[in-house]
Parts: sequence; C-alpha cells; structure tokens
Amino acid sequence: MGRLIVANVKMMVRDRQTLFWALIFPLIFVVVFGLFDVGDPDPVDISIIDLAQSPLSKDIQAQLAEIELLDISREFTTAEEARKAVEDGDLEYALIIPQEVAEIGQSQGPSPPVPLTLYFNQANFQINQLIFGVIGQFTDQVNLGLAQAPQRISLSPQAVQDKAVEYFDELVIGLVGMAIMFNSIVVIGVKISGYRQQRILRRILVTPLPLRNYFAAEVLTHLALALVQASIILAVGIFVFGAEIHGNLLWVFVIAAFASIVFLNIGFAIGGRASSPAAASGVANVIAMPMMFFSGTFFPTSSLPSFLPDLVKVLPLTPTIDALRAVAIDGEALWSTWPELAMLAGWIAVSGALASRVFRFN
Amino acid sequence: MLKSVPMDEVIQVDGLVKRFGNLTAVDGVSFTVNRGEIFGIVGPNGAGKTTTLEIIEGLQRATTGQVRVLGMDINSTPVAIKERIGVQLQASAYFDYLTLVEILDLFGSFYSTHIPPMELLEMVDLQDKANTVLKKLSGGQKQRFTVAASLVNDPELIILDEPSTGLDPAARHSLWDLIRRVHSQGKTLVLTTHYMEEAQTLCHRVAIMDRGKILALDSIPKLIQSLDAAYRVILTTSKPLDLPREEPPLWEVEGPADGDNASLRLRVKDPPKVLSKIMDQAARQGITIEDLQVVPATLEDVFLELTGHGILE
Repeated sequence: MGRLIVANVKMMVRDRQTLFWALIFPLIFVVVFGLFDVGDPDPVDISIIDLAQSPLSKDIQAQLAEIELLDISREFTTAEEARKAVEDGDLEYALIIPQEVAEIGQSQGPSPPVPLTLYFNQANFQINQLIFGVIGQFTDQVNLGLAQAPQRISLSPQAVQDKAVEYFDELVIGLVGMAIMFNSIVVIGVKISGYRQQRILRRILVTPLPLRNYFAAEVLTHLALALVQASIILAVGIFVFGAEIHGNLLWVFVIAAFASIVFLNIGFAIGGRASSPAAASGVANVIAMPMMFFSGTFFPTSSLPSFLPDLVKVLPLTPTIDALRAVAIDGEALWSTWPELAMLAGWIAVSGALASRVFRFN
Repeated sequence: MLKSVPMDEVIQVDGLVKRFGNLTAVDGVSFTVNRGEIFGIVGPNGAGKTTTLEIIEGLQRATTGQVRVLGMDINSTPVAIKERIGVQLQASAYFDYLTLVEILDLFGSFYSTHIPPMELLEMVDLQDKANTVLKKLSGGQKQRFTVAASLVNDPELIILDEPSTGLDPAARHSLWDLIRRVHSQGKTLVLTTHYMEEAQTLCHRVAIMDRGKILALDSIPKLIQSLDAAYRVILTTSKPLDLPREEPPLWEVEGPADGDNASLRLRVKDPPKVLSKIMDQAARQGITIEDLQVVPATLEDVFLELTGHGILE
C-alpha cells in the first residue's frame, strides 16, 4: 500500500490539472481577497464648491477636511461642473455651499435653514448611507455650534471583541474548508471516473490486491493533499496578507482531515457512477458550487434568505467551516466543537454508505 | 503412443452460463485449456468471448456452471488464482502519469512474486522507454507494454483479450512475435480475437464462438478438414466458363463471375476430379484458362460455414 501512496503522490504532482484544482484555485481566492482591502472603507472623493466664501463656509471646509473618510478635491469651481462630474462618474460626491451661508447670523430672528446640496451617485448604496450619516452629523454639530448649545451627551464607540477579528481572517479559514471540499469532491470524482472509463480499476481488480487497500491508499493520499492545501492557504494568508489566526493550528488540521473524509466519499460516489470524467466534473461542480456559496465560505450563513439557513446548516461544509472557525478564530478547544464533529461523523457514515452502494467498476 | 497420461488442464470450463437480465451472453459453454498451448477463442463482437474470459479472471460471476483455473475453483479461491495468472484486459489502460518502470514496480508489488521491471521491458523491447510516462507511447508500444504488465507476476497462464485490436499490420506482427516468445518460455496462453488470420497463425487450438455458444473446438487443420469442402479453387478464364451441374455436385460456386475476364471461386471437396472437369470443359468450349489456384480452406471458411455469416457482420 505504501507503493500505491507513493505512486499516487507522483501522479498528483505530474498531473497539472489536479494540482491546479488542489492548490492554485483556492490560492487565487486568498490572493484576490487579500488584495482587496475589505476592512475599512476607502476614502471617497468629494469636491466642495464654496459659493459663499465667508468665514463660516471656510470653517466648514476646514472641518470637513479633517474627516478621514473624505478625500477633498478642489478641481471643480462651479456647481454645474461638479454635478456633471458626478453624473459622468468622474467624481463620487459634490457638496455645494450656497451663497446664503454668508448671510447666516447677519440678520436677527429665525431664518429658514440654508440647504447644503450633496450630489451623489445612487449606485454606491452602502457608501452613500455612510456619507449621509457623516455629513448629516457634521451639519448637526455646526448647527449646535452656531446656536451655542452646550453638548450634553456624546457617543464613545468601543469595540467589545478582545481580539481584532477581521473579515479576511474568517475568509482564510472559510477558504481552507472550501479547498478541501473541492479537492476531495472534484479531484476524486474526475479521477475515479477516468480510471473506470480506462478500465484501470478492473485491471487492479484482476490482481490479488485487496480493494480496501486500494481505496485506503487513495484516501490517505488525498488526506495528505488536504493538509498540504490547508498549510499553503494558511501560510499565504498569514505571512503574505497578514491574517491573524489565534487558535491551535493542530485542531485546524484535525478538523480538515476529518471533514475531508466526507467529501472524499462524495467524490467516490460521483466517480463510481458517472459515465465519464466530464460528467463527473459536471456533477461534482453542481454539488460543490452551491455548498461553497451557502456554507459560509465568503459570508455568514445568517445573511442568506430566511428559509435557507436551516437547510444550509445540514450541508457538510457548514459544520466544517463552523468548526474550523471556532478553533482557529475563537481559539476554542477541539472538543467544544463536538456538535459539528458529530454532524460530520454522521455525514461520513451516510456518504460512505452511499458511495459503496452506487459504486460500479465499469 | 498411449493416451492414458492425463493432460494437465489449466482451465476447465463446464456448462458455463451468464445472463444479464433477459440477455444470455454465455449460453452453456464447456472447454478445457491444456498446459503449454495457445488457445484461441474467435468470434464476432458480442459472441460472449470477453464475458467468458472475465468470468475466468474473476471479474464477473457465472450465473451457472463450473470454472476451475489451475485446478482451483474460481469462487472459493479467487486470490490464489489471481496470484498465478496474468491478464491483459480488452482496451485497458494504465496510469498515464507513471513511467513504465513505476507501473511495473507498482503492479509487481500487488503479487507475492514478481519479475524485475527492466527484464520485462527488455522482453517487449521497450527498455529505452523505461523512464517515459505511459502517455507518450505509441499504440503498438502501449499494447506491448500491457503484455509486459500481464507478465509481472511470472504467471503460468496468460489471458489476452483482443490483444491486436486497433493495431496496424506491422504492430500486429510484432505482437505475434512477442506472444510466441512468451509461449516459448513454457507459458499457457488464452487469447480472443476476431482476426481469423491471427488465430490461424498463433493458436494451437481454437474455439469458434457465436451468440454465446461454442460451435466448434479443435486444432486448425482438423477444423478445416472437418469442412465438407476443404479446398478452394480460384479460376480465371478468357471468357465466362459454363460448368454443367454434376450429380452429386462436385463443387459449389462461392464467388460470381467478374466482368468479361471471368473468374470463379469454388468450394471443392476433391480437387483432382474438379480440375479435370474444368480442363475438359475449357477445351470443349475453346476457352483459355488464364489462372488456376487450388488452396486449402481457411479458418474464415470454417467460420462462415458454421455460422452462416462473416465475422464482421
């Protein structure tokens, strides 16, 4: 059996397609997400057109310039120019300080509020909400300052998490789960269906080699591959893109290997029944793709439509990623993830029974 | 010589039946293969040749019937049998991404005894390709390699399922040489083919199989002798020759006249008698005989007579 494993490893290294799926494909995600800065939002370009040119309007400008989120440009001089630039997408926001601002405080008694016009593009929905909030809050403060009202309460934001968990950290762990799933389902499915089509499995069947040795060698090889994969993803995530993993990495590997068995069984079931490697690849992707999206690789399962999460919780990738994140991000001990591990054990039994039932040698 | 010494029977098949649902692929087949012979099973696609072999190899289970290989029952001692036989499956491949030596090493490790890879590769003249991956071999080289792979455990019995299908004539001849070389090492070979010429040049005994049944089994000379008309006369004349019917018939016209330059192909039992009739008639009708050949019937003729159809139909 040792020789089978050695042979399997050699074939895996020489077969570039397998290597691509196993190693490069998940790394592409790590790199792409690592290069996106998905943490703090980028500053937005805003142009301020000061038509008032009064002490107050200059004060407003100076104070706005101190807000980090705003990157103030003075490229445009007329309101119309700036509006046009926003319309064409050359500028994200334009704030117009009208001439009337110069008259504020000059007449006694109440006067109607002077509107500051903000031109924006409706496409950036989330950023818009943020900018409205920031500028709205700013105008409130200016109003209060003008009325000389004392500030009685203030907001003091404090993060309650003791460790700074960033989206990217969670994502790296999600990608580990996704990678071992793809490696196992797609690679094994395509490989086994190919061996069946080429009658390699039947050729092995006419030798005295016990079949369980053959399958054990395949499983062990792919478990090793899963661990190499997990190591590479974690290494690139941590050392290249600065992900912070607080938990015990050993538990990450244990869970990755355990979950890998479920996906290998699914791969054997597909490969053992599909009529050709192309068909196996199709079926494998149909199974793997939705799991990748629904099981929380990229975003929490709680943001799915309300009827989905319950359904999604039973997909094998969900407990895999949940358990991986619990030990890696939250630093929990392996045994505290027993509900997830129990679910995976159930999946191993079900998928194993399925694979041995549907498997055909020709 | 006395026939009392029991023949060493390497394969004994008795009343073998294999059904797939309503289809009877093998329909009551019995035969024995003797030690040291090259035994051929010929027949068209779908005759049941491969199914028969796969039951012997342990890949399929018989519906009914008994099969013993090297004196052992295939159902009770499959592993012990697999240790001692070599198998080349029809259109079977090996791992694309391993070199020839690696594949032979790997398959050798499945058996308790095995021959060193280089020795096997030398036998099939592939020693130069030892460290080439299988993917890069030509069709003929691959086929020779699969024969080498079937010898990895130094088997007593080698089963080859359509070894020359898909090969060009040169590659086929080199495969025949290889099979003869393997046989000369004292091994017993069983092969299936739908090339009559292949069976005729290689096999000591041949079973003719059609629609799940063995229609005849004997050495090739005996099969041909068993024909009612064991010879063929091929005749070309300057003008169509009119041969009056004889009673009882001395010949049977197999091929029709061919244009102006008439040619005939006759099935013949007694060539001397027929030849003198032909000479007679030609002289009487003033026709010149341009070409006249008397050839023995072939296995193909045996097959045609037994099945009533050609091998490729």
